[in-house]
Amino acid sequence: DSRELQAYEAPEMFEAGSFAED
Amino acid sequence: MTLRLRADVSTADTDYGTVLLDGADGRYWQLNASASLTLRTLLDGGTVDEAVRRLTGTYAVGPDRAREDVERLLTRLRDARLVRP
Repeated sequence: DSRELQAYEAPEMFEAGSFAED
Repeated sequence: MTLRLRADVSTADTDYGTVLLDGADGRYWQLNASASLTLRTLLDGGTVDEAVRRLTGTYAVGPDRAREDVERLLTRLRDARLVRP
């Protein structure tokens, strides 16, 4: 039970770009 | 009810999480590691409760905060029309 929990970063989702533009 | 991506949305795992490519309009979206874990759980048929358990079992976060974050991610996925209604 001693598994270390990882530091939490809230779930994030962002638009990374446009296939059309690239 | 199992969460499902729209038919023209494809996924790719990266070192930082997951990328979703919307084949309909060419946009792509980056999800960080905790969002990827949440999405994978839900796409595998897991419930919101299960996603919360996975988050709290992996990260230093309490269940209330985790639930808020799962719900927020679901809203974002729906608003971006990446998942089926």
